[in-house]
Amino acid sequence: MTGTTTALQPQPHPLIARMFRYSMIFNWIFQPRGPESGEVFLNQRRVFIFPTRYGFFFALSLLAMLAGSINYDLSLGFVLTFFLASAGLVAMLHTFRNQVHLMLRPVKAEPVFAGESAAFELLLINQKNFERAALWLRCAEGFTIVDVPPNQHAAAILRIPAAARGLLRLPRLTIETRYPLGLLRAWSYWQPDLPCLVYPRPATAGAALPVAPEGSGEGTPAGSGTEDFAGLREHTASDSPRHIAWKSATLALETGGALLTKHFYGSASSDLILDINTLPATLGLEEKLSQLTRWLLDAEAARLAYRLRLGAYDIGPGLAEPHRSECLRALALYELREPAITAAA
Amino acid sequence: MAVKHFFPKVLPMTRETLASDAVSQDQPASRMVMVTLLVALMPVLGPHVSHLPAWCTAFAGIMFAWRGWLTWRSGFAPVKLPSKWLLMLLLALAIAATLWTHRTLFGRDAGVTFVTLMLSLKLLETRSKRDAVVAVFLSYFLILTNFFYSQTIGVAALMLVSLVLITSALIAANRDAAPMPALAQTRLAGVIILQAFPMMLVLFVLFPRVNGPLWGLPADSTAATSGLSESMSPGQITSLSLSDGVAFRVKFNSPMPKESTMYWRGPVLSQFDGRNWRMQAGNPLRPSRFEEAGVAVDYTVTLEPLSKPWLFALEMPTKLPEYGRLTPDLQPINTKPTQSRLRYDARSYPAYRPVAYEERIDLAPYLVLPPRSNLRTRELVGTWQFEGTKGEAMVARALRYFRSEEFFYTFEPPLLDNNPVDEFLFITKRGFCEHYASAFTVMMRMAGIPARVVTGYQGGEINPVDGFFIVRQADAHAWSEVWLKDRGWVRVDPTAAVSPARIERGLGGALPQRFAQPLIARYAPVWSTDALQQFKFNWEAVTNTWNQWVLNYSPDRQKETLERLGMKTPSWQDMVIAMTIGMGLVSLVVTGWLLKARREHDPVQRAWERFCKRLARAGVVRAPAEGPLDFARRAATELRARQLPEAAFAALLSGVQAIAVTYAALRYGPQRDAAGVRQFTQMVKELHV
Repeated sequence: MTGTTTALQPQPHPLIARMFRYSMIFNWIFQPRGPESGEVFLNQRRVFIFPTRYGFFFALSLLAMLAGSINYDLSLGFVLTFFLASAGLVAMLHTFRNQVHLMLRPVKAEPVFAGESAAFELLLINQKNFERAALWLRCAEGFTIVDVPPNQHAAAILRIPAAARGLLRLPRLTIETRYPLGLLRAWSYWQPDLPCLVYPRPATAGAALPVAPEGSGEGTPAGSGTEDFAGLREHTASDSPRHIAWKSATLALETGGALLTKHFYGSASSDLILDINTLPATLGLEEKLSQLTRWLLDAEAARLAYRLRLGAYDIGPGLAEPHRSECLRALALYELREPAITAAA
Repeated sequence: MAVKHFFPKVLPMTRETLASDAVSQDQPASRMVMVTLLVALMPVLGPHVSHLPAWCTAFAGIMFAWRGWLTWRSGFAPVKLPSKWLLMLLLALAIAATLWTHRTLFGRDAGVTFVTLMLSLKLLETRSKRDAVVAVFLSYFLILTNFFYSQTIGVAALMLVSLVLITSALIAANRDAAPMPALAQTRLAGVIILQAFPMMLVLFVLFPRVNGPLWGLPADSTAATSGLSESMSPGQITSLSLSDGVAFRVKFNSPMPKESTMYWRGPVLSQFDGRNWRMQAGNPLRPSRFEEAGVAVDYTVTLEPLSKPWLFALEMPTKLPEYGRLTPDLQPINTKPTQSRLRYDARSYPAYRPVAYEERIDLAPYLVLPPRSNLRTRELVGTWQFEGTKGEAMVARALRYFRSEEFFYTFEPPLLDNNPVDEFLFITKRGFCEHYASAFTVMMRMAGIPARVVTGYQGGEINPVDGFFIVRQADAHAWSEVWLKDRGWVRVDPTAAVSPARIERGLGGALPQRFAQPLIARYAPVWSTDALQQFKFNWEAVTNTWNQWVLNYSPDRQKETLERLGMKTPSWQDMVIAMTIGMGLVSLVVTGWLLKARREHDPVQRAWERFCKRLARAGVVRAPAEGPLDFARRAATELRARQLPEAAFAALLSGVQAIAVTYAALRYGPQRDAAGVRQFTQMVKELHV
C-alpha cells in the first residue's frame, strides 16, 4: 500500500535531487553567512584548504620520482621523494596556520563619486607570534595582497569600481593564501557589512550655477571670500545638529557640559538654491542628480553657500563640511529603497 | 607590513578558484626568487659536472651567468629577457647537441643532459611565478638524477642542502606581497624540511617496497665497476691501482676463520691465448666437485654494486642465495643480474675436500696452451719432467723455483712482451699475484697437469667499530687450482711461495719513489698513526651502517626489520595501515608544534582584557565586535546611570576614556613604543572600578 502511494507522488528528477543534496552539502561545508558586522575571527571551521594545480602537479611529479626510484633502485631517491611528500604535508599545516585564527575588522570606506573606485579599508589582525604572509583578499573586482607581521595588523584596501550612486556593499570576499609552498590554497569567505556611500556622478562642467528665483538674483559671495566659520556658541534645540562641534562633543557628553554649535557668517543670507524641480523635465532622475552634484561641487569650489531642495529634503543653506556631506548623502540616497543608515565611517 | 595592490579593470574570471590560481601564477617572480634559485641550483648541478658532456656544462654555465648578469644589471626593475626566438634557437641547438652526443634523448645520461639544458634555458624565460615554480620542480627532479651516479653520505648531505635551498626558492616565489630576507626564507625552508623529517622516516621504513625494475633498465644505468675484470693479462698492466674501495663487507655469523684461509672465490679463468686469461666459453662436461669438511662458516655478504653477474663466497660455498649458483668451474654467479648492492647469506667450508671424479676428456680444456710460445719455460718444465717429477712433486718443484730464484713482489712490474711467461720467469722476475698465478698455471699445463686461474679476493680486514669484515679492491688476488689424480682440484697460491721477506722489501724498497703508496696494501698496511686508523674505522662503520640501512633497504630488508619491530609476517596491507597510523601520529605532533595555542603574550592586549574583565564585573560587558572607543562611550553612559559619587565618577570616567584611547592608539596606530606600553599597563593597574 505504502509502496504505491509513494510511487504516485511526484518525484523530483534524480539529477535535481542530487544537485539539491550537493547544495546541502556545500551549504553545510561552507556555511554561507551573509554580511557580518564587526570583527570576525577565522576559526578552524571557517578555513578551507585544497591543493592548487601546482599541488596536483607536484603530486604527479612525486609519483614519477617514486617510479624512477623503484625502477633504478635508488634508495636516496626514495628518501628524496618521501622528503618532498612529507614537506607537502607539512606545507599543508603551514598554509592552514597562515590563515586560521586571523582577526578581520572592517574599518571604513570613504564616500566616493560614481565612476570612481570605492576604497574599502579592512584590517587584518594577527594575534600570533609568527608572520602571516601573502594573504590575498579577493573579490570579482580585484584583489590585494597583504603580509601581516607577528602580533601586528595590516590594512588591506580593496578598491571596487563604484558604478552607480547609492550604497555600495562589499561583495563576499575570499581571503586566501598559498604561502609558503604554493601547493595548497587555504581560503575563507567573509562579507564585511561595510557599505560605501556612492555620490552621484557629477555631470560634466558647463551649466552655470542656477540663480535662485526668490532671492536677490545673484548668489552672494560668502564672507567676501574669507573663512566663513565664525566661532562656537552654545547649542540650542533649534540649531541644526550638523553644526555641532563634534570634536568637543565627546567631552561634553561625559562631563555633562553644554554642546557647542559652529556659527557661520553669511550662510543664512545665501540664496543659491539647488532644487531638483527646477531642472528640465526632459532630464532623467539620474541626470538631474548628476547636475545637482556638479553644481554643488561648483558652489563649493566658488565658496558660495547653497541650499539643496530634493523632494522632501530642504537642506541648508550652508557651505563646506558637514553641510557638503549631508547634501551629497541626500543626493546619493534620493529615492533609493536602501534603508537609511548611519555614516559609514 | 607589506601590501601590494593590483586592480585590473575586469578580471577574467569564470571559475573562481582556477582563475584565482591563474592570477596567482601570473604574478611576476621577484628578484629574490631568481637569486635564490641561482644559488640553490649550484649544489644541484655541481655534482653533475663530472659526468655531463663538457659542452653541456659550458652551455649551462653561460645561461647561468647570463641570467645572473641580467638580474644583477636590472636591479629591482623588471628584467629584460632574451626574445622567444633566440631561446627557441638555443633549445633547438641544445636538442641537436644532446642527440649528437648521446644518440638519444632518453636514458640516464641523455636525460640528465637534456633536463640540465631545459632548466638552464628556463632560467632565461622565467618571468612569472609560474615559470619559477616550473624551474623549482625541474630542480627537485635534478636532485634525484644525482643518485644515478652516487648515493654516498656526502651526496645525501648535499641533497639536504639543495632541498632546503630549492624549497626556499619556492617560498620566495610564493611571497606574493613583499620578498622575505634571504636568511629568514632559508630558515623557514629548513624548518619545513626538519618537520618533514619524521614523516619521511615513517614513509621510508613503512612504504611497501617492491622489487624493481618496473621497466627495463637502460644499458647505461650502472656506474659501478669492480676491481676485477673478466680477463686477466699479466704483463699488460704496468701498475696496479690499489683502490681503497670496498668490494664487499662480511658479517660472520659463526666464528671467523683465519684470515690466511680466506679465499673469496670469484671468476675462474681457464682459457689462455698466450697473453690473456679468460673465462671458459661454454660449459665443461662435468662440474668440479668437493665434499664438506671441517667447520662450516656462516656469513652475510653485502656486495657493492657490480656491473658483472658475479658473487663472491669463501671457498667453498655450499649455500648461496636463491638467485646464486655455482658454475661447473665452481664460480659463484648471480643468475638475476642486478646492479644494486646485494646482501646475501652464504655458508662455506674453508677446509673443503675436493673430489676427483672427472674423466680425461673433462680435463682436456685445462691443458690447452698456445703452441710455440714461452719456449724457455717449456724447456725448464721439460727438464723437470725428464728428471721424473710429476703430480704433487711437480707442484712443489715449481713453487720451490719461485722461492729459490730472485723473485720480487711488486705492484709496478715491468711490461712484458710476446712471451710473457718466459720474460717473467727468466728476465724481469717482478710481478704481483697475477704474474705468479699465470706463470704457475702455464707451467703446470706444460707438465701435463690440468690447471686454471682463480681470481677473487684474499683476506680482508675487520673493522673493530662495527664488527664488519671489509674486503677491499686492493685485496683482489689471483691464485691457481691444479687437478691432481685422486685429489681433484687443489688450490695452490704461488704468490704465497714468494718469500714474505722479499714481499716486504718489494713494497718498501723495490718500489720507485713516485709510486704513491696505497693507503691499504694487502701485504703491508702503511698506517701512519693509530688515530688515523681509528678515524678510518669509524668512518667505514658509518658508511657501512648507511649502506646496510639506507642504501640496502630492500623489500627483504624491510620485511626483516618490521619483523624485528614486532610485526609478524607483514603484508603490504599491514605496512600501509602502519604507515597511515604512523603518519597520522607524526602529523599530530607537527600540528601541535605549529598550531599550539600561542596566544599572544602582548602586554597591551593582556592589560586590555584585564580592563574589560574588570568593567564586566562592574556590569558593563563589552560586545564581541565593539571597538574600544564605542565601548568607552557606552561605559560612560552606563556608569553615569549608577549615580556614583561625583569625584569617583569623574576619575573613573577619565580613566576609562584614557585607557580606551590609548589602547586604540597602541593597537591600531602605526607605531608603539615601550614607554607607551608601560604607561598603558600602569593606567589599567591604577583604575578602580
